[in-house]
Amino acid sequence: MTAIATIGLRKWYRSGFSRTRAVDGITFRVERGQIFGFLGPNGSGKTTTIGLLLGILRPTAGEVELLGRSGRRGLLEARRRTGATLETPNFYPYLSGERNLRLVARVKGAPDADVDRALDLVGLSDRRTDRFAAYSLGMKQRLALAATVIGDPELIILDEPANGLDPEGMREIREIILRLADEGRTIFLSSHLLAEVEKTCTHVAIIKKGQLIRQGTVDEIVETGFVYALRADDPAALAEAARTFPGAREVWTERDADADVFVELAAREPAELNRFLSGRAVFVSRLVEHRRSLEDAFIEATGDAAGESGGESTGEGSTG
Amino acid sequence: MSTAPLWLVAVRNELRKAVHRRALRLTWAGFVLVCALVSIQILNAESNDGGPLAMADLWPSALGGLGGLAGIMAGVAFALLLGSEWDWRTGRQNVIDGLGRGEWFTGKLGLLVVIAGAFVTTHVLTTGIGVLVVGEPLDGGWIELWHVKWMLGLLAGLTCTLTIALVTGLGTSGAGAATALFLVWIAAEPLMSAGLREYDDWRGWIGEHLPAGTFARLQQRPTWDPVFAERAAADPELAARMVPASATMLEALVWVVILTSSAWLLYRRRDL
Repeated sequence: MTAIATIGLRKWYRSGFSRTRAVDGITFRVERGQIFGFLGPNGSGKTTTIGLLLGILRPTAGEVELLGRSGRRGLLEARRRTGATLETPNFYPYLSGERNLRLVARVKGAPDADVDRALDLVGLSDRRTDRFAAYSLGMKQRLALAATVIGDPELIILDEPANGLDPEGMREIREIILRLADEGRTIFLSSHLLAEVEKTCTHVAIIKKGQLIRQGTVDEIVETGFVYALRADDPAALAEAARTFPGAREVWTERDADADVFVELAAREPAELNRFLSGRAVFVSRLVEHRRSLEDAFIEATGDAAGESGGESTGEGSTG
Repeated sequence: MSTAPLWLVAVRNELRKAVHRRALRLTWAGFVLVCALVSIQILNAESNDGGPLAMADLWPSALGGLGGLAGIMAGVAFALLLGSEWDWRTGRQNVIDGLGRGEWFTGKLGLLVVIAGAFVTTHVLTTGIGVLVVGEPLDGGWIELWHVKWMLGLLAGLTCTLTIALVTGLGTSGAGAATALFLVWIAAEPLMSAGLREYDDWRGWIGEHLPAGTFARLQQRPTWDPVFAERAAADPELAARMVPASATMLEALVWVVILTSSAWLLYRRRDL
């Protein structure tokens, strides 16, 4: 069952005689039950894509399907079964957190008890009567998350939900997201915090300059082949011996790494490698399968440090 | 679970938001004060004439005494309310939360009508209290039918003026811009009207029938007082200059439709 599907989604902005391609033919699917991370450098088109999913931006071309529904009426109906925030938390600053959530509840046709539950979930029950304007950034983010769960949505779309939060706040948000996913909801989130995404998401897609460049499970994205990290008393001898192993494709060292030598094998045969090294009087103190971080994979895919590079100019409106 | 249609939910939400909005409260309180001051001034002037004051004679002074203030104050309040939806990005969040664009727009129209009604009611009640305090129901009774029609005319005219604020609120991207553009429109329209009326052709006709000018005519006694209609019937020159009340009401409604449609087209086509 598909929660989100896009086919050739495009958003181009015209500015005078020039045309800016904020989103340029994106096609992807998010299956129900997934926690899907949507990653990309600043200005790569993340927020524009989410805006297109949510119907607040008009696509130049392409199709969107949400919860199995498409077309204007179908998408409107599907959006009522979706909870979402885009960029910053958007609420009426002169109303209390509770009043703001009640407005959302009425639109979603949800009972008032949903508001109480949502406030409890994000730990804002004590500050429910405070004006939104008086909330800290972390509280605003939590209120935004509370708004998304009102009406028992099947799909939750979050744009940078942990922005501006301290580590404790990030952990809380992560736990809430995981709890919501455990309840069977599909979560689609964009974030710059790649370590958080790696801890939270089951699947990711990476977008750059409005185009999708990688998509798959987190394991697939961080997959490095059969690379092993080794440590021994004599790193030079270790490297030399490893190079003579028949199944070794490549052997290298990395500065500041937590291993002396990295070996890429043609097959998953670390025991063979260990036996081979022992036979040459090289005794390893550590031999582990090397798994790169999502950040490494992201940088490799985008060719940029996380969140620091600008993608293609995205013109007017919000792009992320 | 609520089963109310979403357009009705949108209207109710707009009213819930509006009653807590300080900008509206302050503007409305200011309007009450202005109405009261104008009422006192008018009634004092009438009292200076000496003799008992007939209620039926006081209503015209009360209803026509505000000039364009009702339109300006209500329009500013509405432009502020509408424009803030862009500043806070709540307009787009409402759509994200599940309101269709049509339902969101309907919510704003509901708010527009309620604000128009509230300002006209405030005007009538505030000045009406003065009429009741000072006046006496002499031969003409408490109130005449044409006074009531005049009140309905004020409602139609104010609704027409608020649709100008609807256009500026949906055509710009913030409360400041929406309010400024509304005020520029109100200030510039009489100048444009005067310029167009120099022509004897269709341009002159348009100059006579611009939206804010329509509201101004609906506020004036000659549009409503049967005495003026009788005079016009006997005087072709005066008749040529006078626009009947029914035609002016129709004109206001046509402007409401044109401006509301324009606002909808602006809103429907824009990215939020």
